[in-house]
Amino acid sequence: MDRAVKAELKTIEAELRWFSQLAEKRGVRSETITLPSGITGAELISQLAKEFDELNRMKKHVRLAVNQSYVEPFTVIHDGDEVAFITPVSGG
Amino acid sequence: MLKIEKIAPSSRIGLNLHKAEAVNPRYSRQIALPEVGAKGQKKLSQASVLVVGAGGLGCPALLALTAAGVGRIGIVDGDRVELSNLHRQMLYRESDVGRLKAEAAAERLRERNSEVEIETHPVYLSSENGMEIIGGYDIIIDGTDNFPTRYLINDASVLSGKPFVYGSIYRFEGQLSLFNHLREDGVRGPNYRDLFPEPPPAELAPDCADAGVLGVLPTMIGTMQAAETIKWIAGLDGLLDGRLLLFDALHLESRHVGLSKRDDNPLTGATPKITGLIDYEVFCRSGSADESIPEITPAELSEKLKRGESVRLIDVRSPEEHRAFNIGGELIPVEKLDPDSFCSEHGRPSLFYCRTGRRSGKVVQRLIDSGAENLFNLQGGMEAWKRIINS
Repeated sequence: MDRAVKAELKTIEAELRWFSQLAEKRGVRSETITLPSGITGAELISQLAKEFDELNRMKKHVRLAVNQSYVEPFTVIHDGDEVAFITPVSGG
Repeated sequence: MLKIEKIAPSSRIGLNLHKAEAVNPRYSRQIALPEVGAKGQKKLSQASVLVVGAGGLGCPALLALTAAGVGRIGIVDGDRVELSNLHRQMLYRESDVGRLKAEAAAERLRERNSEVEIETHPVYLSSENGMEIIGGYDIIIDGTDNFPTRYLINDASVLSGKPFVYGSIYRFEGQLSLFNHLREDGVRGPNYRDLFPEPPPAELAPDCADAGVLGVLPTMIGTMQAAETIKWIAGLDGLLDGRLLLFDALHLESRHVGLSKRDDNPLTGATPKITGLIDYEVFCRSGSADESIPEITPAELSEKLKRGESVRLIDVRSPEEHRAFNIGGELIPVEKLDPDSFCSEHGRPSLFYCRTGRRSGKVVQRLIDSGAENLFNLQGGMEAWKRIINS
């Protein structure tokens, strides 16, 4: 999508990356989605959790990484960002 | 000129080999690396490493560190070898089933390299012994399989000022990092509580027994933990300080995520709240989503049994798991338990247990949903029982 058009529509595109049980339940390890511009990490999790039960169960414990750096929930997601959902695992 | 040039390189190689062999021929291939050299090898021989958990991650880490010539290696594990361990825990033989892991592992490692001092701690790391055991080593490897011990290792390492190499696995995926590393500027890098401030409830994070694991995955991650440890000791570059490695053995992909320190870290944040070890079983249950399931803690059960109270114990694990370790009672594997035909007893509580409390918790919930009463789940299962009662 053209950047100017996106700015007008006030949407952004982000690439989501899923790990461990979230990737299994989601059925994909990565996907590109369109989001309202200005959305924060916490808002992204709440929005996705509405239709993704496993994320809803894990949402308190998921850590977000944007463009391969760990971020706080209030971080704003920008167009073209890669957002990774990291879950704690305990096996050994 | 030409002649000199020809002679000079070969004489240098000859000198290097001679030097390496003068040190110890066992490590000559490692000493030949300019980044390691005789100096790095000496550092390895003077270093001490503690490996907590001699399981899927611990076995390959122990083998690699022993082979590399680390001076002193400690093994902490209060568990015994089970048949289901053998597909990935390569230090053990069939004849080791039933033996203490720490002892079987030490025996095998001493055969591999008699120059390394192997120390055994055949106990579970606890809030009581954690500071003392961890305090006796330079660097710690986290090879455990449960959240309470991970947070315990984190806190004890941070409080003792020791770096530790974190590793954890799930099915085909692994996580790896170097935590609490002392940087050149005197500041310590992030720790496990910066990555995951709170543990998830047990039912949201299945372990290898419940989720399954590809046998070679812990071997890969455990070997990488050993590599990170060797790099740290020998002073090599590229440490995973401030970075989390996410490794996917199915697609053979790896990604790094940059970590930062949190202001609200209860150990190292602006206002530290944790200044000594806490009760990690309680801490890791605090976020449990299934508070509706009636539970009894291992300590409560132990007290009840000591007082001679009648409790109907039901193990819902597989016959193999039951044979390896149990606390008595009936064996009704989860797949054979029929909610319609199960009868609870009046005045005598039925207590369900499994390895971690997850499977038995689901059973209790299902039975309560179909009308049964006076049922309880053993919190944390046999793992918690062994850590709390048998240690």
